[in-house]
Amino acid sequence: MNINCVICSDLFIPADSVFSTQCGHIFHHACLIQWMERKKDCPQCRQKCTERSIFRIYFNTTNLDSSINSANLIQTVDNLTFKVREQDISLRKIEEERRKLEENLQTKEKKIKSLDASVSHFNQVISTMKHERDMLTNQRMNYKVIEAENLELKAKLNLLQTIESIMTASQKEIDDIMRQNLSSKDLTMMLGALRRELNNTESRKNELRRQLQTVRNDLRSEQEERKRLEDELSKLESENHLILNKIKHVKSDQNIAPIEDCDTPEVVKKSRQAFLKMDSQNTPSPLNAEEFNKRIQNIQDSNSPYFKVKKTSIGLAPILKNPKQQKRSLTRPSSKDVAKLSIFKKPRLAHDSFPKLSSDIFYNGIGGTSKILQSDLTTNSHELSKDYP
Amino acid sequence: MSCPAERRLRKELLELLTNPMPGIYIDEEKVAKNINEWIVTIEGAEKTIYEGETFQLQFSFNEKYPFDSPTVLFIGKIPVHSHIYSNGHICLSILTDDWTPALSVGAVCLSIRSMLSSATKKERPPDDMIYTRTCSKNPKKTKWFFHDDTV
Repeated sequence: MNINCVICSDLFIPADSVFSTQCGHIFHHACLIQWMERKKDCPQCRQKCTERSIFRIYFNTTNLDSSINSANLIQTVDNLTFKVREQDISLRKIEEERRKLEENLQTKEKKIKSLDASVSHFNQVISTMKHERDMLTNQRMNYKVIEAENLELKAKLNLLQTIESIMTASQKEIDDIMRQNLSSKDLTMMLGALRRELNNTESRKNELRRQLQTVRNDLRSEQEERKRLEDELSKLESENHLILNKIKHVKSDQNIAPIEDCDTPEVVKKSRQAFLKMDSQNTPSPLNAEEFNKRIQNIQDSNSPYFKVKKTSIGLAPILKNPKQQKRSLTRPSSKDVAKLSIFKKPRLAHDSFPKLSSDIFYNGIGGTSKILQSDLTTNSHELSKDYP
Repeated sequence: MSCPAERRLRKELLELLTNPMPGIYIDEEKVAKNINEWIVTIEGAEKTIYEGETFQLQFSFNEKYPFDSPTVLFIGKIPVHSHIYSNGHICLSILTDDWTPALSVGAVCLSIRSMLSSATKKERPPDDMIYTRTCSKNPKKTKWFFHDDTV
């Protein structure tokens, strides 16, 4: 029975006291009375109605319980629907709020992302800046080191300048400088420099000394050379003398005026030729032999360190080796001995390995020999070629 | 449970929400907050001078509802009409003298909408200036002299 009272909009239930107006509209008794307190007309059609004109009506329901239930249920459902609507509204509101918050969150996240990006960017910038700063610090350190070096070098330069001035300056000036510079470091450096200078000077001195030594050595060798030459000269002179004596002898033999002291090579040559001609008749005067021996003795007694060299030298070797034989040969000089003593002979002629020639063979005085026996010219020539290849 | 006025208002609200009337929309959130204060938006009916315009009505109910009529007035943009004062008060008999408990929010909205629709030109009531200066805040306290009984 879904009939309701228009005033309170509640459904009528059989238990309600329902009243009808004369015009036929039905209301709850309470509702109608309450309205009629204000206005004496029908709420629905405005017809006049009084408390006397209204009357109660009764419903005849078959199923009392179910009708009650349905009315109550409808009411409950209505209430619940209303509540559901309210909940829906609040839900919608909450949803809206959530959406807004989500949007907010998204914007915030975006912001955070952008901030992160900027942070990373700045971090990069910072790292590059740090790198640059490090580089600059290194450079500055290098500069500092260089500056320090520069200062040091300047100080050194000053010091060196003062040292230089000291080297060139007089004693008085040096004293002045020493009075100025009393720093121990400077002094040690000065000392070191001076010592270096001293060392340099010392080394230069040594060098010079060495040079002097070499020069002296040279001089000595030169002197030796001179001595040797002098010896040679004396030897030659003695020879010359010998030859002159021979010549004298020959001249006296041939009644020719003696030639005295002929130093010219031409004269020597001539005399030699003459000597060779008179080879076989050679007999040296005892006086000359004595003089010769004396000279040899002189040579032997000489303190010269080149005596030994002399001893092995070509000219004197045979004489020194065998003085007795030499004496004999001087007294009776053979052509062989003469050849041995001659400086015109090649050195190897004086050697011991020289082949002994037969008594038939004679030196011809010009480096060859000749046989007296003219029997075999071919053999003679053969022998010559054999001896002097 | 709640008082009878509230119960009836709930039923009316539920009815309007489940079977909405054309051109009449209820601010559900506002009503959910306070069942005694309704904001109803009504559209100007088609083919009338208010077509395309929307107005807001404020309903205030007391605990004697439905025996007491609700206080109804325009808020915000006030439609220019010969029975509507520029302060939002509406010169309509059913809102005061002719109120019956059989009327409802929907019925009142319908009446106002038809009142707007019946107008032929937009003009303020002739005593608009005097009334707005002298009237009480509550239109129900105005002793209305209904000029036009046709509505």
